[in-house]
Amino acid sequence: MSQSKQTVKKKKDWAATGFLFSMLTVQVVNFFVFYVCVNFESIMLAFKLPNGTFSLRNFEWVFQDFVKEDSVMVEALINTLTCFFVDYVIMYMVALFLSYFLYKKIAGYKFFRVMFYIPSILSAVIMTTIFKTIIGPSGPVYQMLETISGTEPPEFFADSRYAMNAIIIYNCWVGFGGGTIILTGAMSRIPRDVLEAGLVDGISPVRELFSMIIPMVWPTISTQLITGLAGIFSASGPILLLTNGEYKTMTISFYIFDQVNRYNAYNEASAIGFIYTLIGIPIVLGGRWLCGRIQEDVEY
Amino acid sequence: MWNIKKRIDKDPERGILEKRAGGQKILFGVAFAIIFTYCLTLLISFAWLIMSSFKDAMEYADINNSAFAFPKVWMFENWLLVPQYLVVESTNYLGMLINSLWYTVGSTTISILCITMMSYCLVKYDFKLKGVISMTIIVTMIIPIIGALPATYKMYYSLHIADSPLILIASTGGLGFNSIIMQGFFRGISNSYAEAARIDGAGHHVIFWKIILPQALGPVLSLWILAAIAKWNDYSSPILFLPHYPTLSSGLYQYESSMTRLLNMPVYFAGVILSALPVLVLFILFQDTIMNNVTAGGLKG
Repeated sequence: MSQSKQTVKKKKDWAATGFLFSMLTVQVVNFFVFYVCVNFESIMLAFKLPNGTFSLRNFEWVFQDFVKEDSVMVEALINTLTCFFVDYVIMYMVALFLSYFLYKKIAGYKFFRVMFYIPSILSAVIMTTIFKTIIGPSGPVYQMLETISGTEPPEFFADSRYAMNAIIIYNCWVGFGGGTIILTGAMSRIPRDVLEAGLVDGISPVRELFSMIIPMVWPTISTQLITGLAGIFSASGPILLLTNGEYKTMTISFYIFDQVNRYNAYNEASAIGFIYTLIGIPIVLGGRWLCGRIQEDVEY
Repeated sequence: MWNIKKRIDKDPERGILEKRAGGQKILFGVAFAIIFTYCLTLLISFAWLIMSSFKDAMEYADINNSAFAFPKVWMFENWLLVPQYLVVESTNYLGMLINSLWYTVGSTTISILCITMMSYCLVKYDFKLKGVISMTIIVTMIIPIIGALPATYKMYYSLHIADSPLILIASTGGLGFNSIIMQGFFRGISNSYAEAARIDGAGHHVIFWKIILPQALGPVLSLWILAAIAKWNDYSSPILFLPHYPTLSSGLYQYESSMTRLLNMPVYFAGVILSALPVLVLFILFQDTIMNNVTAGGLKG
């Protein structure tokens, strides 16, 4: 009896193994080639010269650039961190407040929810075209500024003093409501009676948001914070579409893209990536640990 | 999960949570003003782009004309000029549309299908590599790898998959959030149908393709739409990896940057607006599906 059961089981296992093999092979092979091999090659590139000899010259280059006057590396780092701070820290707080109002069914909330979504589904090519032309000389914003100030306004995307700020404003304009979509969804799952009890006790909206709503959607917030933190060194804007990295708008990720796209240069770019990956890993792990420490998972 | 969300959304009653006293009314009034102003900037911008697409090229380019003025003559033919005007190297607008279509549909379908297959196996089967694969999914999501682009570029070109439709092979990426969402879905569906089919003699493949996949169509579709929108809008990968197959996103950028002086802006605007239509149609048709899925994505685990 037991023997026959075993044979049946064995047969079944073969079928299951075959099935798993057919379902997973493509992905496993792909992961190996396009993730493991690519990242291994990436590290190799960082430690090699274009002619293939091993060398630390790429790193030397990067560090030399850091201490140079008018350093592109410093410019890229500052711009990247500024983008990160505005996009992930400030805009996330904005998203939290906006979500609160949407959740509380502010007049027109259904319309706002759709409007908030639209900039994130339209391609950057469209949104940058609109933004560039609107603040450009033939556009309404430019002409309005001209009328108000009486002088010709600067060309914002062709002036080192304004270009990076214009990119950050663009990022805010496009990303203004994007963060609310997931947050309002999480808030809508809070049981209403919990908040109602708070209201009966007469708490203020501020306390309602900070002492009740945020703690209850914390799992969503902490997930977003951790994944957001992973983008610390890749924060950027559509630099290619707006300024092509000119006028002091270089960012780390655009620098790497540009090296590949324009110069077919791989080694220094890989070294930069290697350095920032090494710095980024402890930051992300630290952030993860911190988010876990602030609050344990809530159950309701 | 989806049902609960829907029920709350459709709930017409405004309960105690939505009642506002004096001070709160001011707070909500200010918030409304800010949000409304923001939406207005978007609406005016879109309207302005549409209006400008009907202007004569010279009229648009003349900075002495007010940007707010309606077109002196409504140039409806601007929109008809799009196919012959917007040409990048030897690919015309129609060609870019076709490239966008195969690139988007191909890579999205392969990617979402692979994710679905892998997630199903991870949830419903026990096998040796299971732990390793699950761990890998989490680890690759957390580790922020920067600068793999040069190596990816070299890899694609050395495998001869770049600059050809073969690039689709590389889109199987079964890692990341989508996989977590699909695993959550498969954990929630019962085994009874599959078991009943197994007793009737159905094999593993039959069960997956005929019984499981139809049940998973809802979440699969929403992930597919979201991924497809992202692919359609992606301009940097086609610029690097498909230089001779410009898609609408990468092609319009290349056209705009190569023609700065001779650019007929109104026609270009018309082309840009046309390129957004498929995404807008998808969004309008599947608005609820997309929104519900995105909110579900915020769920823990």
